[in-house]
Amino acid sequence: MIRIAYGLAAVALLASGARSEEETNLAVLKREIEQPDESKAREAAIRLADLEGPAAFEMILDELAIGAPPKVQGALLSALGYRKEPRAWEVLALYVRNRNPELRKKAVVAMGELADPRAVGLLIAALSDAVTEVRSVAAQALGRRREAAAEAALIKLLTHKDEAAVEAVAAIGNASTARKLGELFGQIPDSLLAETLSGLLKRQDFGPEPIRVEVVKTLGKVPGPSATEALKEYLAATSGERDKERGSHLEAKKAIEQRGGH
Amino acid sequence: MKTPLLSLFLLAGCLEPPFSPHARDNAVEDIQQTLRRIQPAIAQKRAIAYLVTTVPKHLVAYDLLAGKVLWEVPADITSRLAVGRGFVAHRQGAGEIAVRETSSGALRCTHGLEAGAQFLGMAADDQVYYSQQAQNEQTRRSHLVALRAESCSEVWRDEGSGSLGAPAVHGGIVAAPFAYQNVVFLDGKSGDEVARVRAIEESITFVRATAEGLFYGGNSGVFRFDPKSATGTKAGSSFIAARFPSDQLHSFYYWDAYQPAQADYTAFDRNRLLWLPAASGSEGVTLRDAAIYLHSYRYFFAFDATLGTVRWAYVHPRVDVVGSDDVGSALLFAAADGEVGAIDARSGTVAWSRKTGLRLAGATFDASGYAIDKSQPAPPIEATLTAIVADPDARFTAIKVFAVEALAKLPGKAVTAALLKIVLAEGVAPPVQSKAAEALLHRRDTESAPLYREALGVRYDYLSDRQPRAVDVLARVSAAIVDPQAVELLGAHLLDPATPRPTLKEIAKALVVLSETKSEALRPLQDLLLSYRCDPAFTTDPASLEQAGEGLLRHGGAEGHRLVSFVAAEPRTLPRLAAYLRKALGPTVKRP
Repeated sequence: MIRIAYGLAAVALLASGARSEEETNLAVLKREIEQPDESKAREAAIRLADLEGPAAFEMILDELAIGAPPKVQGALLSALGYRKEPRAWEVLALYVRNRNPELRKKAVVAMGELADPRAVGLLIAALSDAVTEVRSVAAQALGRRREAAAEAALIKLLTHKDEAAVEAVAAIGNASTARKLGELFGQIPDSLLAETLSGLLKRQDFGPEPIRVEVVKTLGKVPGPSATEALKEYLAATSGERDKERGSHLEAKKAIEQRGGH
Repeated sequence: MKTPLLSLFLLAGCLEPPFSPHARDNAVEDIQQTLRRIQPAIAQKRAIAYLVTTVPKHLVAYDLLAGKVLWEVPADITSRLAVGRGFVAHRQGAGEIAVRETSSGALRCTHGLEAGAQFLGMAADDQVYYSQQAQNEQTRRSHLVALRAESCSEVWRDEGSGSLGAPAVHGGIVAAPFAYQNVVFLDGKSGDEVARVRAIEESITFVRATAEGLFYGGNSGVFRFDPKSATGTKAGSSFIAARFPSDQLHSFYYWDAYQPAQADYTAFDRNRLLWLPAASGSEGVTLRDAAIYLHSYRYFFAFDATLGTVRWAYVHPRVDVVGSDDVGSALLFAAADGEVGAIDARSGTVAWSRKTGLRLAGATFDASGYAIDKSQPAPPIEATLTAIVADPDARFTAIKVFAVEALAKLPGKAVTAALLKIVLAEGVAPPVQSKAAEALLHRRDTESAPLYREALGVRYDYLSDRQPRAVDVLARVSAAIVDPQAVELLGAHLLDPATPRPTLKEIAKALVVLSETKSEALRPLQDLLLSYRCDPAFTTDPASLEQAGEGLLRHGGAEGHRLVSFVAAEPRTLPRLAAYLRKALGPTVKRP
C-alpha cells in the first residue's frame, strides 16, 4: 500500500504548479506515457527508462505500481534490471507473478540483478513457472548469481528435461552436485546430463581432481554423441603439457577409446 | 325382465367376450367375485436360482440353500423364465415356447408361437400363459393363450384388438394389462373375462403377482387389486407411490408389459426397483418393512419408501449384477461373473455368496423359501456412498450424483472431508463434482475450515507437478463460512498467474466478503485491480476487477475510495471497468 500511496501522491504533485526542469521533463513524459495511444506511450516509457537519476527511477516505480498497459509495463520493467536498485524489489515481487508471461520474464530478469537476498526465493519460485521462457530466465539468473540454495530445484528442472537448467547447474554445482547427477543417470535425458557434466568440467574452480575423474567416468557411461563430444572437448582442453598426466584427462582418453570414438 | 341367472351373467360382465371394448369395467361386484375365486397359495419352501448363461446358452438350476448347481442343460432361452408347479417355461429361439422339468431341466414339450407376432411375456402356475401381439397397417391384434404344462397343447386362446401386455397369474386368476388403461382379469381354467379395472388417471404398464395378491401400476406407483380398484383413481384405490430422496433416480416399478424387448433378460433387469408388498389386511397397500430397493447395475440402495430416506447402500465389486429379486429378508442376486448371493435386506451386507464360475446373461429366482437367519449390522453408509462416488466405473454419473446427495444429508466432519475429496479429485464427472461443491456450500461446516485451508494451500508448481484444484469452490466455501484465516491463501491464488481467469472472480468475491472482518483481504484486491486495470486480456471479462473495485470501495475506507476513484477516472483503464466503477462510485465521479 505504501508504494501505491506514494504513486498517487506523486501523480498529484506532478499535476500541481511549481517544479524544476527535471520535474517538468518528467511531467511531460508522464503525460505521454499515460496517453491512450499505446505505441507512443511505450516510446515515452522507453525514454523514461533511459533517464538517469532518482526522480526518473521513482517515476518508473510509480508507473508500474499504479498499473499501465502491458507494453508500457514491459518497457519500464526492462529499465529496472540494469539499475539494480534494491528499492525495486517490492514492485518486481508483484510483477514476477503477473499473468502476462512476457512481463513475468522481464521482472524475473530484473529481479536476478538485485543484490537483495529476498530475490533468491522468488527466483527459485520462478523455476516452477508454467512458462518455459520464464523458467529459463530464472535458471539463468540463479546460475549467474551462483545461488547454491537453488541447486535442488535446478536439478529437479533437469529431471523435467528442461534445458534451461543445464548451464545453471553447471555454474553452481560442486562435488556433491556431480554425485547427485551421477545418481540421476537414466532419469535425466542423456544429452542434458552430458552437457551439465561437461559444464562442470569446464569450470576452472571445479574439483578437486579425484572429483573430476569421477565426473569423467560418469560422462563415459552416458550414451550418445553429446557425451562423446563432451569427452573429446575435455580431452582437447586438457591436452597441454601440464594437464596430460591428470587423472581426468587419462580417464577421458580411456572413455573415448572404450566408446570407439562414438 | 332378466332371469336371476342372466342377471348374474350380466353382473359378471360375461356377456362380452374377453378383451371386448364394450366389457364392463370398475364394477365392485365383479372385483369382489374375482377376489373370492382366487385360490389360496400353497406355501412352498423353494430357493432356486435359474441362471441363464451367455455363450453357449445354458439353463442352470442353482440351489441357494445347498449352494450347489442342481442341473445344467443347453437351452436357447430368449425370454425371462416363468416358474410353474414342477416346471419352468421360456421362449426358445424365436418361434416356440418350451416347458422343462424343474427336477432335471429336461424338455417336457414345446409349443409353436404365431409367426410374425411379437412375444410379450409369460406367466405360469399349473399352466403356462403367454401373450403375443401382431400389427398390420390398420389394426393391432393381440392374443393371450393358456397351455397345458404337461403337453404344451392349448387350453384356451383369447383374442382381442388393441394392445395387450405380458400376463401375471395368481390363485387361478390371470391378469394382463390391456389397451394401456385397463387390467383384464381372466379365469385361468376357461379364459373367461371375470373383471376389468380401468385406471382413469394414468397408464397401466404392468401386472404382478406375489404371494400377497395381484398388483398393477405404471410409472408413478403400485395399485393392489382389491374392491377399491373400482374407483379407477389413485386416491380411491389401494395405491402406493414410494418416496425417493432424489430426482436423479430414474427407475421403474416393474417391467413394461407392452415392450417386447423387456420380455427377455436385458439392461432393464439390471436397473430396476425391487419391492414386495407387505402382508396386510383386506384393504390398502404397504411395502414390506416400508422398504423399496433400487438395483442399478453394480449398486443397490435401500430406501424408506415412506420417508424417502436412504437406509443403506451396497456396491458390488467389479461386475454388473444381471439379476436380482426381493424375497423379503434378502435381496437375491446373480452377477455377470456367475457369483450368486444374498444381500441382507435390513443392513445391505452380503449374507452369503458363491462363485459358480458361469458367465451369466440373466437370472430368475424362485425363492419364496429363502430367509436370512441373523441380520448383520449395517456398515457406515458414508463409507459406502463415498466408495460409490470414487468408483472408477465411469458409466453411472446419475447414481454418483445421487450418492453425493445422500452423503450431503449426513452430518459430521468426516462427511465434509469426503465431499471435499470428491471436489478435489481428478477424473470425477463434472455433475458429481458440482453436486459435491453445492453440498459443501450448503453445509457451512466451520469446523472443517482447516481442511479447506489445507486444500487452498496447494499452489501450481511445475517442478512438483502440482496443480491446485477447485479453488473457485474453496473460495466460495471460505466466504460462506467466513474464514478470515483463508485470506492469505486466497490472496496468493488471486495473484497467481496459473489461476484460471474465471476463478479470479470467485476469489475476488470471497476476499470482498472476508475483507469485512479482515482488512488484509483488501491488499490482493488492490494489487489485482492496479496490475490489470489496463490489461486488454481483461477486456471481455473484467468481472474480477469489478469485484475488486467494489470491495475496495465498500471496505477500504477513504484510501480505497481514492484508489477506485483514480482507476475509474484514469483514461487508460479498460472502458468497461471504468464505467462499472464510475457507476459504483456514484454520480460525482466523471471521466476527465
